[in-house]
Amino acid sequence: MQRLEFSYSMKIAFSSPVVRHCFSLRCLPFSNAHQRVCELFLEVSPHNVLTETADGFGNRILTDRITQEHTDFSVYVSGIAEVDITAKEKEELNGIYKYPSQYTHCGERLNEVAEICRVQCQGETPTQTAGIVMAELRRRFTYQSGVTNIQTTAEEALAGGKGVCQDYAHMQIAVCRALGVPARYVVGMQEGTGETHAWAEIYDNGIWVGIDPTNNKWVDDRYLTLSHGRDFADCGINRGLFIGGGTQTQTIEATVRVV
Amino acid sequence: MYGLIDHKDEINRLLSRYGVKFGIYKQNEFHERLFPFDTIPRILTKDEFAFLERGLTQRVLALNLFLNDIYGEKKVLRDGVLPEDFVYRSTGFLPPCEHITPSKRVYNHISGIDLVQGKDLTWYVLEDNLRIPSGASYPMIARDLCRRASPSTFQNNAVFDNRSYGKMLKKVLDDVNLGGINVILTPGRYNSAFFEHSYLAEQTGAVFAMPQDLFVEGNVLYYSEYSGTRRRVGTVYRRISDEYLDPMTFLPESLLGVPHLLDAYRAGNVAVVNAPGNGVADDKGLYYFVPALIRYYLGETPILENAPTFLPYYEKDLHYVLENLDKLVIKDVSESGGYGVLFGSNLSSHERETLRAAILDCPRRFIAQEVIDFKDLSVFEDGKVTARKADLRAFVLYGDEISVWKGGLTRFAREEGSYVVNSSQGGGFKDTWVLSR
Repeated sequence: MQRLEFSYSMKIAFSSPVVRHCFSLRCLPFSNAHQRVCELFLEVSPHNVLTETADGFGNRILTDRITQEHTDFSVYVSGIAEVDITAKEKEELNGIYKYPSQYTHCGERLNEVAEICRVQCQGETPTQTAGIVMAELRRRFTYQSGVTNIQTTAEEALAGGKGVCQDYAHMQIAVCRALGVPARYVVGMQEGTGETHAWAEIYDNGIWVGIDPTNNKWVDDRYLTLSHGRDFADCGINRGLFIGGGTQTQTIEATVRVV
Repeated sequence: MYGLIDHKDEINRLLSRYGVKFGIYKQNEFHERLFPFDTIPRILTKDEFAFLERGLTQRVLALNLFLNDIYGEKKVLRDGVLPEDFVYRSTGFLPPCEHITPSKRVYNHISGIDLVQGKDLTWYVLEDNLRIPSGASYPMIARDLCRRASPSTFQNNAVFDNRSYGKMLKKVLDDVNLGGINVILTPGRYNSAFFEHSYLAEQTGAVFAMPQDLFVEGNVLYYSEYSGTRRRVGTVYRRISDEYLDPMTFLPESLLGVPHLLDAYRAGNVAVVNAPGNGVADDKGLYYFVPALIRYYLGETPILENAPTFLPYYEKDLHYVLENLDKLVIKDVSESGGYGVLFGSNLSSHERETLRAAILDCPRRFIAQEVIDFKDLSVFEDGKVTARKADLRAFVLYGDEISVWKGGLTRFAREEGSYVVNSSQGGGFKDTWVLSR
């Protein structure tokens, strides 16, 4: 078990004022069998009637609609959570995690990886299969930011050969699903300071096991989960809609420290 | 039944003045077209309607139980009644709608069930439309104009008044209302059924709203009046399809939707008519399983038959379909409005090969049906009575209880011998008389 002190800060500066700004934030960690949120502090500015709700995947969402003009928007979340992945409980599988989704359709390249893995994965458990998939993908892909964007699908990312955590997670999910291993997308934070992180979870005998293909490791107690879903589209930390704004500059800082 | 023929031109002229139009998108261009009306009605006898009423009620009840199940416990999948592919691969299945309990547990408040009658007089269900079935307004206004043109016709024939639809619809909107006004939400005048949206608002007394008139705050949907006053909305009858309904959950680029509407719906503060996510139950692939769903949920024998359908997803059907392409109608399960419907016999050998390859590549995308020899209906065309293929869209309304509208939209093919009756494919329409004795 690890006790984690975390903080997430996001600031957007608009070059000209915006109005009718609607947003949905998936930035609140939830408590479950293996992750317990002990302290939570939240500040959203500006805000109107901040409302907490949930989505179809069980994530916590904060929503609001700011009517007055503003040029700055900021979200700050901090707190303390205890994580113990050995305490995970069995969950019933939602069938959607077996099937391709918007970002995780397999094209020629992903299918090729899947076929190579299929041979190696004969008789292996879902967890072992996911490990083999991770190794195969990492052989074909290197970490580099600025090459892909939030619209890049798993197949496109693999074709380019370079990308970020979102792409690693999507490819991992796509190939696992193609091999019959249910998989889902996770957004959260890992130990250290930087941006938020994305990884995958695979379903093995009732348990969702975390795998982080970007860092070539299994998820341990130093990871904090914010949301999960079929792929990136279900897990946007900040989804917003507004009128006006010109250009926008976004600054994000995520910190997790073991205490 | 021929008493109104002399008034055909006059009534069509009035329909055009009232703006009874249908919009068609062709090659990305929007064309507004009059919806040609034929004055010879389709007549349903009292007994015939009673039979249809029983069958439609049964079907709609089972489909609603299916929707409750599939967005909840999913017993139907665990019990193996339906292969899960037909749910999870369906574009109509919306995971963001899972575990929402709609008001009164009703999903398909307004169902448009398309039927045809064979030459042997058997009725077959061709399609269930559970998303935003349109068309009720056309026979309503046509009846109104027919009555004005020839009052005696309706004195001499005992026909149920179809103008009750407005009251029936209002009752459904009231039954599921979660506190507040009723609103009909239209995407705007470029929608193919804009006439209908405004007409139904008038008939039900609901407030007629454009997307920018509505907003969500604190999980509650409001209508904002011209003066700036806000009024809480208890039921929204939205004529915007699911993917455009809420840009915060579905297509982010949608400008037609109301941000956070799904949150307000999930919180149980507004009834959404029809419920989002119904597409999973009116998918052409799921259609194959509706008789099985009726047996499963109700323990009853289906009263209405499906058209004989083959599912290439199943190996044995795949072979039959590939062998008999020239005798079958092949439908792409993800298309609607008459798009993606191919008659095997009309295809060139090259087209047939392309189709065969597409079926082999993704069998789940297609269903194949035997061509039903429809009973022809009389149509007055070019100064004489002639025969055309026609279908019937029956409207079934579901609030506190299920009721079948004593009327319906009869659509006929414009071309002689054609089986395609969809208004988006250029068909015309007729009134449907349900006799009261």
